[in-house]
Amino acid sequence: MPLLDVRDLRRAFYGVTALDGVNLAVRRGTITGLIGPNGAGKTTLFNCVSGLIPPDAGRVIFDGVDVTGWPAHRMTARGLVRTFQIARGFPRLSVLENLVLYGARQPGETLWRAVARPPSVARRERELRHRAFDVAERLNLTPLLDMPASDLSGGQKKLLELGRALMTEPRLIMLDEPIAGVNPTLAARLAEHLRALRDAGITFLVIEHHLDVIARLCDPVIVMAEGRHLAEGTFAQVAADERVQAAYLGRRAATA
Amino acid sequence: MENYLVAMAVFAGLYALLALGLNVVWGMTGMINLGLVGFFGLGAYASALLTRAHRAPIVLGLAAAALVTAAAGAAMALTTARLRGDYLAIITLGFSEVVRLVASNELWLTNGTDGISGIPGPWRGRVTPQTFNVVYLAIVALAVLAVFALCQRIRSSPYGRVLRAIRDDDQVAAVAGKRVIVFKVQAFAVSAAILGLAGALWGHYTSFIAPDVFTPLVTIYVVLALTAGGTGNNVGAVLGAALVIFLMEATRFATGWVGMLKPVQVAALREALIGGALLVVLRVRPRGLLPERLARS
Repeated sequence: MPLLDVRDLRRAFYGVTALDGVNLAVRRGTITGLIGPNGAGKTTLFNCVSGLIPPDAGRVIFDGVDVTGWPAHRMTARGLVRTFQIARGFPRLSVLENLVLYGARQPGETLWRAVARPPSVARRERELRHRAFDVAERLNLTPLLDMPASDLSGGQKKLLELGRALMTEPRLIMLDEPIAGVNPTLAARLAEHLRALRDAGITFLVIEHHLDVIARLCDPVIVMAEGRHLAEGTFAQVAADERVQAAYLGRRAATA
Repeated sequence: MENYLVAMAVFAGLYALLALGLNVVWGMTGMINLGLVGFFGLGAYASALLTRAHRAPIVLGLAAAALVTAAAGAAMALTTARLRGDYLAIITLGFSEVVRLVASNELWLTNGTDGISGIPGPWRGRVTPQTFNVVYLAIVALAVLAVFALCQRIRSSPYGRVLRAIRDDDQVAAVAGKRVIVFKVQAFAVSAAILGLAGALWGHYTSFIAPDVFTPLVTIYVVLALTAGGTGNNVGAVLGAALVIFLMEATRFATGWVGMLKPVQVAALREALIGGALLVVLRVRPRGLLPERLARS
């Protein structure tokens, strides 16, 4: 049974079809790549699966449970978390706060406990801070913990997004262009982190336009075009696929 | 003169409550509320009607004012859950105008534009007006202190961290696992309760309320107070409120020294001076007198 199973997912915006019946599956323990030309529906797929927008039709099965149309906060609690294409987050929170915020089950996030402060609040806060320090250590963010997130470089913001996702104790992380705008050294290190995390048991679904990164990192690679699943296989296989080449480069006009 | 200063301190305290209330929803959560005077008025009427017509104790009136406005705030946050920015600004502004128009026209309940007079105050009539003034200042100071402590506790808690996250990006906050709507509704309710409490305290102090007390200008002054003091900072909210009251009163004297002006011109000059002074504050301190500070590890 795949970890994530998307069946015949459909979504249109004011009559424009973004997802036209997507079928795809993400196997456990893989770093699955998701590529396709602009407008193929990759980010819409992420939005529908992660609960930011509801799909019009179709099913999303996560770890055997039908989670179609669940809101984002429930998906995250369930173990599916996503990042954003343009590093989004909380610029006016410190890096540490950004991380700790993503921790689950903080009783101090209810109003009366925030005011009354039973011991459970401080206890959980210590646990979450400890976890945040570990995550920061792993991603080399420790020296930046006290900085406002707005002061980070583009690459550091991408690392922080990954770190925040890790704070949720996820089983599947969906990364939307994690390498975009990141310098090559940091990109290589990010890839290293992903491999290590995969070996630690986390599954990844990665949208990325840098095909060299996809080639080195992802297996299998899924190709989307025009709102559908077009091809799947190793990078070499899909790169050799004529349909994929046509989707990226356009078809030669049929000549009689 | 002493009485005057005490009275100004009371009004500064009430403005501080308004600024603290606005800070919960705008400063911490990033939701616009341009109708805060509506909650202020709603609280004032709720407590005045209850204590005057039904002879309820003032404490009960204050509690009822907070509850009624909290419910109104929660209802507003629920109905506008999908709106942001400009739209929320319009709806909240409309709400405050509705409150004022209902108060002006529902004569059976509010006595219309004539207002409600004879609102009881604690020990009013049994002590000298001077003593009443001082006692009331103590009550308002206590209220400011209690609300300030509450706001500080909320701000520094994990709960406050979620509010500040929602302020930056509510979609990402949802991805972080937070039920954004619950936080927004609660923040709006808490904020509205504080505004309503301020309104009730206003009525019991002045003993008279009428619809024209609750005009949009009050909202603007409170927004200016919070902005000048430091949006997001509770100390800044109190300081900004004191500053606005000081400017309002200082300009009253300053314009008195200028001769040969008609009363209308004096009033216009005062507002221009207040506006100018706040412009200077924000030019020198763009993030307010006391900018919000980042939590350190």
